[in-house]
Amino acid sequence: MRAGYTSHCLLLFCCLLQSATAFAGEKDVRAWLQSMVESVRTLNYRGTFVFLHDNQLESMEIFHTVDARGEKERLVSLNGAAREVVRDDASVICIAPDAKSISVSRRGAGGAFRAVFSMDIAALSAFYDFQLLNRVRVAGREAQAVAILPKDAYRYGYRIYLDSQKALPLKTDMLDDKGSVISQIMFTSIEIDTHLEETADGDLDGREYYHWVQREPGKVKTGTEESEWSLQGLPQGYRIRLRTQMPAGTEGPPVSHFVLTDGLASLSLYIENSGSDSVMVGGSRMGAVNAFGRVVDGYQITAVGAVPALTVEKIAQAVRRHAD
Amino acid sequence: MMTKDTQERLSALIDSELPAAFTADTISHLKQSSDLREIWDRYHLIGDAIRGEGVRWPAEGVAGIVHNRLRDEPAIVAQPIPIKESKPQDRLLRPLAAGAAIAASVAALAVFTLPRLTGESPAADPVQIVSKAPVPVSYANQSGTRWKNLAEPALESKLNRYLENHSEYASSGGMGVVPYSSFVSYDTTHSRP
Repeated sequence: MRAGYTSHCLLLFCCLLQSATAFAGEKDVRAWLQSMVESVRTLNYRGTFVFLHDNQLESMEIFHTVDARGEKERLVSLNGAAREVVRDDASVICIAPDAKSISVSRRGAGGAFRAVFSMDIAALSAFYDFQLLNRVRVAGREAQAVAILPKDAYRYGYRIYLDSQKALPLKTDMLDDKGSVISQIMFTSIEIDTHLEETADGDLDGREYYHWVQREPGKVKTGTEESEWSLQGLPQGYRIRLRTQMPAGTEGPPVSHFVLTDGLASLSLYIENSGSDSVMVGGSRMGAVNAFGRVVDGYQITAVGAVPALTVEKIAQAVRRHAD
Repeated sequence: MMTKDTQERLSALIDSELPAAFTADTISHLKQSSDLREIWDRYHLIGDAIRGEGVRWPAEGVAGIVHNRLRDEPAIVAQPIPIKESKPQDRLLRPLAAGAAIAASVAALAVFTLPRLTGESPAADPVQIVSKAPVPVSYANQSGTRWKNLAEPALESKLNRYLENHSEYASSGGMGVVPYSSFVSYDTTHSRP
């Protein structure tokens, strides 16, 4: 009995020692990235970052709070029109003062889907190499750099500079398969663990006369439900993680929506009856985001996401329709 | 029937300032009228050239469009941008621009600066709009954070809506709300010249 108690104490001590060592800077890449995933969800923070893509430089402010009611996030543009997105566990509100419009979407499918991005390094290691890099200074804070490098051309990589104390990503470089930078996000200032209850709430005063749009989330389809669409010959590692059916609305016909991911990169595939509308055939790039369109049996297939052009094309080309 | 009102609505649509009640109607007009589509093209062309962004090249030629429309354009006061480089394409375009009214400096500027502004080959990422569009068009890469300049505004807004929708499912390994940067960011295409 006594020996059992001692061994429990010893085990506890070892665990404490291990975690203390980890926070003392001995963490490996896996521990750093898992800390990051945890930190971005559980810490209160407020910061200003710059976003560089192609030749454009944008500046934005981000707020993140978490309390008993859940997470609340707010992203506001500091250039031009003060567009903003306010998101909590129940809804996403996109406010565009320039267009005097507000769209409100309930978070249906997304809520259940968020847990997918848990940075499962063991699974991701088939498609990415993980490296611990050097320590640098970002936004006046010490940061540990880590790299996630793709093993093929179907996905982008990242170089992430994590706050050495809190593991928040202070700088994120998105890289192509050759290691060239495609886009960068860098905090210029950040407050962590600060009291932000008021500032994370979006300000809707004076916006009563905006054009309000309510968007219903697509109805989630389970894997066993019949679909007239299938995907054959996906790039290695990509799988369908979510399938929804978006109802017809004022903005268009019903749309079959597939979310595909390799566990880190993600893209969406939208399939709708093209009807009398013009259709898109071919690819288009916008910064790190690529889109590719094609038409199958009168249906417009569109793949879009922050993945290489090769990936959206291959996934759009993988779509097959089953005749009834 | 193209009226001044229709043109003003088109301009407001490009600037995202058109009240929603008129949007469907204006897009419908746009689909039916090739004249209106030309105006749509020209508004984008002029705006893009002035802002130094990637410019779309209609197959029938920018010069032809500008030449045919110069007489009808209202005078727009703008500071001309000095041309630093002279490329072979400039030589082809200069006689046309030289003969144009100085008051139409914006349109002339579009012609002159096109070769300088389009850093990438227009054929790099061809997107075809397959439909009743009268002219097949090639597109340079998109330089903003929202799609623009596709021949069909409905297609543009659809792609942007898709991207916004996809942001809900994208984490990019970073902070949860960061994928919405493309919605939030200040899009220079929506600011007036």
